[in-house]
Amino acid sequence: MNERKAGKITISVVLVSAIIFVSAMAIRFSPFVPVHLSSVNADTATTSVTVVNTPPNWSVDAQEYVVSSTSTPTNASSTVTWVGTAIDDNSENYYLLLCKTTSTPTANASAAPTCAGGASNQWGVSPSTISSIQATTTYIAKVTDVEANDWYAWICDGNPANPRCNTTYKTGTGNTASPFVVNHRPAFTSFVDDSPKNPGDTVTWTSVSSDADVYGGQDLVTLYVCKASDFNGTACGAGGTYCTSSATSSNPTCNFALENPKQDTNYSAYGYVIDNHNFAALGGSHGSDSSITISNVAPSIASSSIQLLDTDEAGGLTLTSPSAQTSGFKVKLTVTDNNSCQNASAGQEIASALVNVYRSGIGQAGCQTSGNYNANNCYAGAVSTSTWNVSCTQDGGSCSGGSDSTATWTCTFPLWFLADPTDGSSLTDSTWFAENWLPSVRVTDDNTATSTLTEASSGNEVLSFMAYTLNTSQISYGSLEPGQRNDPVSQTTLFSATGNVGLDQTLYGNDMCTTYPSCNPVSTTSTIPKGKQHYATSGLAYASAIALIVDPGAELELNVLKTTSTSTPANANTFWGIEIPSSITLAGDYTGQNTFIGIKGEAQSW
Amino acid sequence: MTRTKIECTRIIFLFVFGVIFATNTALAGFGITPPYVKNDGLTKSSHYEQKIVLVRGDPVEDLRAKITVNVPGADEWISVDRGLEFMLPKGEQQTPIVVSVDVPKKVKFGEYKGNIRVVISPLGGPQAGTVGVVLGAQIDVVLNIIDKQVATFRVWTVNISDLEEGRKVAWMDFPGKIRFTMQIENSGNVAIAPSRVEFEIRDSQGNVIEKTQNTGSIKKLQPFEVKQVIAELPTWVKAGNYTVGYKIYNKEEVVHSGDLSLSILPRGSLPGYLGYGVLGLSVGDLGVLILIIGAALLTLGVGIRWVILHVRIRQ
Repeated sequence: MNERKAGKITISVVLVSAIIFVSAMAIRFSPFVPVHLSSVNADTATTSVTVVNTPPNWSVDAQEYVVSSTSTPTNASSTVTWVGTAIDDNSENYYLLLCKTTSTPTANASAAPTCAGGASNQWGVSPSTISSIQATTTYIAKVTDVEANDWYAWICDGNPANPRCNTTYKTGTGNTASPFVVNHRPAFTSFVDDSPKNPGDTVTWTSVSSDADVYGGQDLVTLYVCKASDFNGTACGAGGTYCTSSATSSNPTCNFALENPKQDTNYSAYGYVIDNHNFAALGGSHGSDSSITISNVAPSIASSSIQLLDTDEAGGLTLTSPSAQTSGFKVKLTVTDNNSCQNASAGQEIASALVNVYRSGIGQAGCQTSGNYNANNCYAGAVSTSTWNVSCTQDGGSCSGGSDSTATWTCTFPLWFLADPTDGSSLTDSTWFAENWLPSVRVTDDNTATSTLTEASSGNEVLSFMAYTLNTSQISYGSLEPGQRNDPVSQTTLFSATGNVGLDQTLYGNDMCTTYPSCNPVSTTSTIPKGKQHYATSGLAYASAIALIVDPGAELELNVLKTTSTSTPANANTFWGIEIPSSITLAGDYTGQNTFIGIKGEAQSW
Repeated sequence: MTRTKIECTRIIFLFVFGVIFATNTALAGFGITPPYVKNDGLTKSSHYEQKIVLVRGDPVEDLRAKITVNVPGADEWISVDRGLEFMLPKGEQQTPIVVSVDVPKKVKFGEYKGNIRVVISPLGGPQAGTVGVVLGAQIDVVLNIIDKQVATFRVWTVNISDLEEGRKVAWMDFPGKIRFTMQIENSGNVAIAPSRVEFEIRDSQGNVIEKTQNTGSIKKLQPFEVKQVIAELPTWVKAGNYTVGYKIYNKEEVVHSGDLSLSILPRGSLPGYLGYGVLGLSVGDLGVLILIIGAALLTLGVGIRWVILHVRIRQ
């Protein structure tokens, strides 16, 4: 038993020794283990191993930090940012490298890696970043960049001995994935409006503008027209907006309904174009001023606003100056100007007014020129003020400023005493009872644009003015003896029409005596009865003339015509005569008093 | 015989003397305007006034004016504001008088014609030895008393004042207030005013953008009175320049119509401008306001009642 046991131990020892030997040989000649076993002394076995650098590993995939996609592209000159996180087993710092290709980049010892193909293929590289800390890489998009730009993210270390890049690149996911998209500014080369325009019209701005970006769909452009140079990138500022176009692929336009009233001058209008990513154009016509021109428009007058008024602005036109002109009649009107009543220089928009005043039978067309002037029925504003002193002025305070389109004007003027009367209700009252007086007015603005000559829709009456002069304050019969008389009647009193109607007269008188006015007691020897005075419209025989009677007297159809010349009044004489009664014995100064009552004559006799 | 010759010689002498001093050819002038008092629409108890201006050509001296009324059957109705005798002072060329006609309650209908005479004479009478001349003028009077009420008026002038646009307070849209001034003559014999005024507001293209009519009533004019009256109309149109077509009604008859400019200014443009208050609100806005006030009052009432009950319960 013991012999057999001893034999087993021997075999085991031999086997173990053999295994050890074979293993030692195997290690000695292995190509993978750079261990110089040869240097091992035969009696001392020293082990040595060099562990090589390993590249960093992705812990968080690289992606765009701010989405740069078709919907939210990165504007040229703006920054694209990538982030990614890597862990380096050596705990070495790493670099996030953004390349344009999938070719493996080159890791550099103690330096940032470079993309395959060099800098031209590189978007950017992060600073050396501590392992497991997020690395950030940026790139400023260039105008020259294409719209879609592929990117490939790499991570590399900068191991001084054996720098390594991870062989796996990343391209992001979802919206933050490659490519990043560059948005370019729209082009804006022309900005004009279609003015000049009138107030209240619509002004349209047109532009030549487009956007070359088509990636993900054609970019659209929008035109903003601002009242001031204050566009903030997406809207006009405090100055206000004229209009904003709809988004369109090119050449946007927009329009604006101009205010009414609006002063005739130039107004700034600044044009701005942005694309549908709110990226504004730069240069060209961007921010240029198209300058709207508001045209001068002619003023107008509503016929209903024209009023022909008496001096006290109530009732008919009342003449009150015999043989002369009565001043202070008025034409009032409201002038409308769509350029407002105030011009751009804060002065009056309406510069002047021309008024004609005439009897309606003459008509507007018949009373316009200086040749039409006739003091009886036509006062044409075209005549000089020495002929007709009409004056028109704008009423103070009637224009409240540039947003007020109306102002009131008042023209004051005189009328001659002989202006045809139009009052009454029959041909006996007035030749022109069926007519009235009308004004027509034309106004001129500060640019010499004139309104139409506008006639008032309603007029006024010139009232009858019964006025006269008598050429004497006394009647002289001459020297007569008792029993003598003026035969035919020959003493005259001249009755002249100094108003605008024809005349008759009523006459009455008193007895004459030397103790006038008290002729009592009436004596045949010292009183000349009133009836001894006779009168007629011509030099009739005394006996044929009319005997003067006491108040109320009798009307004499003198039929003085209506005066038609301002310098030559119509007139007629009354012929007088007296007979001294034979019974008169008292010589002396006989005094009496006759009364002349002026009466408006029947118009048929004017 | 000798005595008669002597006296006749004396008379001849005196008339020659008279000729010498009677060759005064001074121009004397007088006039009146209008030379009538006419009204064919008077009725019983009517009052009518006519202003007449007396005009002297050369007022170099004081004159006495004497008025006589000769209108058979109507003398008692007619009066003159200055009385029947008054002075025309030196230097005063024009002297207005007002002739009033007050028709009695009991009077026969018909026409009353006559005249009023105004005679002006020197205070000192004629110069001795002359036949002096006194001037006068006749005012024709025609009064027709009719058994009929005449309700008519004439529109002399119209005018629209500038206004400010309306304002919005909460849900309430207060309109701008158009003040439409009308110079009206009551040509009838009863008190009257325009029954309504309508506006059609048009834009510069002529499109009607609003129709409106006056709120409240327009002040009446007495018979034959001439006066300015004002109609107020609400408008909700924004600031701008518009054309207004207006119509002035006497009952259902359009008495006067025409076009005018309407300038509505931005708020704050007119110093002292007063727009409409609550009365200018639209029916809808006013209804909502009344409901709110009603609800507030109701709530207040319920609250007070609750407090009273609560106090009573505690007591």
